[in-house]
Amino acid sequence: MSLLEEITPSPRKVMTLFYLVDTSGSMGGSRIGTVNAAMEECIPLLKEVAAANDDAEIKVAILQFSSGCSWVTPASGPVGLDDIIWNDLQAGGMTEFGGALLELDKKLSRNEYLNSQTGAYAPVILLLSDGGPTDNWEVGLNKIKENNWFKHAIKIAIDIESGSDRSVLAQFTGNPEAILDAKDTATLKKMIHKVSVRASEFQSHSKASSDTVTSPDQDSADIVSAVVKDVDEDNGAPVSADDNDWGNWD
Amino acid sequence: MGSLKVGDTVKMKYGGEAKVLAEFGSGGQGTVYKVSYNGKEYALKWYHKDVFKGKEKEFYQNLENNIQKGAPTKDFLWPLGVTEVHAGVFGYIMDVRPAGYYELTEFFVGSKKQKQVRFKSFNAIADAAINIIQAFRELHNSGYSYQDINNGNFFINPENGKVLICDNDNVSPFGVNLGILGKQRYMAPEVVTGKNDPDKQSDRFSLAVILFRLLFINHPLEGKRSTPPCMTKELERRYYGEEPVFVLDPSDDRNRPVPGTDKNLKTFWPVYPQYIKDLFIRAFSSDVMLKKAPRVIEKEWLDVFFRFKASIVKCPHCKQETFIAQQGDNTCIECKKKITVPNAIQFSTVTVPLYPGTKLMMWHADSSQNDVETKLGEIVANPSNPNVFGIKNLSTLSWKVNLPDGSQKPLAPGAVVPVKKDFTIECTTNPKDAGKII
Repeated sequence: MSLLEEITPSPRKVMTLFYLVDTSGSMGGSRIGTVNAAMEECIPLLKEVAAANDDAEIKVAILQFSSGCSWVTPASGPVGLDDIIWNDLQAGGMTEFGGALLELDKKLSRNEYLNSQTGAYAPVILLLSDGGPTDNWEVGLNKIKENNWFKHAIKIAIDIESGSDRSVLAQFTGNPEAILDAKDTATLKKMIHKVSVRASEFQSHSKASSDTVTSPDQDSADIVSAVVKDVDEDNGAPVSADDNDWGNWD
Repeated sequence: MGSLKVGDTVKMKYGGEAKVLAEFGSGGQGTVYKVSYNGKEYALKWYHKDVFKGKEKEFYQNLENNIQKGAPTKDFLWPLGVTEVHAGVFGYIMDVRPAGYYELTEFFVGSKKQKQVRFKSFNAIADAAINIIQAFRELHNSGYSYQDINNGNFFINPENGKVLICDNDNVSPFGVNLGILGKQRYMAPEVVTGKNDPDKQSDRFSLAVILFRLLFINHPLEGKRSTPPCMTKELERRYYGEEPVFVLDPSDDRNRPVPGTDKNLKTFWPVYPQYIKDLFIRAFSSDVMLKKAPRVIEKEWLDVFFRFKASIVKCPHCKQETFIAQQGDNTCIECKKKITVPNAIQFSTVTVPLYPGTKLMMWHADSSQNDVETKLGEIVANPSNPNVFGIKNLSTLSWKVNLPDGSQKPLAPGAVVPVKKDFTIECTTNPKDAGKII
C-alpha cells in the first residue's frame, strides 16, 4: 500500500450552530409547521456548505423552549450534520426564554458542549421566536452575558410574524440590526435557510479590507443584512434604475 | 437584476448574449452559472449586488484590463469576456472546468459520506506543485499579483497533477488593491495585521502554505499554541499575524502539532527529502514570515520541486514509488529496504541521482529557458543486465557525449548512453548546460 493511501483529513476547528426554537403555544399551527419544514430542508443545505469547508467542522445543537426547555439534539452534546434526525417539534405552553438562556449558558463551556481537541470557533446562536418572554428572562440574559463564548458568538434572532418583543431580541443579540423580520411563513423558511448557510460559511470567506476589526455584534448585523438582500433578490425586488438606463430621449 | 434563472439572457459588452443553462454554485462574491454564448458553453461568474462597496467601476475596469492582457499560463481559468452592467450588477465568462479536477479543499476534508480526494502518485504531487508555482511565477513576472490565494482557487487532477486556477478577478497590477485582503489561514502576516495590502510578497507566503498543504495536508501554523479553546479575531491576529510559529520550526517548539491530529505530519515529514523540508523551514521561519528576511521566490521552489520530481523512482524491492534523495544509499519510504544509487549527474545548479525511472528535465540543464515541461532524458536499466544503467535521449536533438579520454561521440534521439563516471553530456545546444556524471 502506498503511503498516499494513509492520508487523513486535516484537523478542523469546530463551529457549533445553536438553534434556540420557541415552541410556546403561539407558535402552534403554520409557524411551527414552517420551522419544522425549514429545519428539515436546512440540514442537507448545511451538509453542502460543510463539505466545502476546510476551515470549520460544523456541529449543531437545538434547544426548544416553552414551559421549560429541552435539547432536541442528544443531551450529550452537539452532533455532526450526518447524524441529525429531525423530529417535528410540537407547540404548546409558555415562553420561558430566561430558563432557556440559563440552560444554554451551562452548555457554553469547554467542560460541556464546546470541548474540542482541534479547537473551536465562537459559536453561532440563532433564536427563532414569535412572542415576548413569560418568565424572568433578564436573570438568564444577565447570566449568559458573562459567558465569554456568548460574548464572542454570532447572535441572530428571527422575529416570526412580528410577534416578538423586539427590545428583548435586541438585548439578546447585542445589536438591534442583528434581527431578521420574518413577516410571513414563506419568508421565515427562506430566512432560516439563508441565515444558517451564511453563518456557517462565515469563517471561510475571503475578507475585504473593511471587515477585519469588526465586533461579533457587527458581524451578526452584517450577516443579517446579507440575508435580507438575498431574500429580496429571491423575491424579485423591483430593480432600481439610474439615469443611464434610460438613454437620451431629447 | 439579482440572481439569474435558467433561460435568462445577459448581454455581453462586445456583442451577443449569454444564455443561462444551469447554476454551478454560489459563493460569497457571486454565483457561477453554466451559460451558452456564441454556440459554446462557458461559466459565467455573476456578482452579488453591492459586493464591491463603491469600487464597482475600478473592479470592472480591472477585469477588462485582465481580459485584454490574457492569461499568464494555460493553467488559469482566466476571464474571457465581461458582461454589460445590468442595474449595477455584472459578471464575466470563462471556460468551463473539465471533468477530473477537484477543488483543493477536497484534498483536505473528508468524512464517512464524502471521501477525501488523494493524489494517485508522488509524481502527480510534484507536477501539481510545479504547475502552481510556475503559474504564479508567470503571473508575478507579468507585473501582477493574485492577492487572494486560498484553498478554494485551485482545481487539481489527482491522477496527473494538472492544475486550474480560478477566481482570477482580484488579480491586479503592481500597486493596486481592489479591497480584497484574502482568506484567514492563507493571508500573509503583514496583511493580517493590516501593515500591507496584498501584493506579490504576500502571494508568496500564501503559496508556501498551499505547497505545504499539498504535501502534508495539515496547516503549517496550527499547533498546540495556536489552538486555543475558542479562536477569536484577536487570537487569529496573533497566531496568523503578529506571532506566527511553524509547527515544525527546528528552533522554536512552542507550537508543535496537537497530538492525535498530526498523523499526516508524522507520516510525511520524515519521508520527504531534507532539501524540501529545508525550504519549508525557511519559508515558515519567523524572520521570513515577518519579512525580516526575503520570502522564498518561485524560482527557488521550482528548483527543489524539479529536483524532487527527478528523485521519484519505483523501488526495486516493493515496486512502490519512493524517493532517492542522493547518490549512494537511500531507504525506500515504503518497504524501508536499501536502494543504492551508484551515480549522479551534476549540472550547473542541480545534481540528479541516476536511477531507472529518473527523468532529466530541461529545467535541470538550463532553468533560464523557463521551460517546465520538456523532458530531455530518462534513466533506463539494461535489459540484459539490470544493474547497468543508461540515459536515453528523449529529446529531438542529437547529444554530445564527452568521454574522459577527450573524445566526443554523438547520441541520436532515442539512443542510450551508458552511465559511466566522468562522462560529460551536452543535452542542449549550449555546452554550458552539460551535465557531468559523478
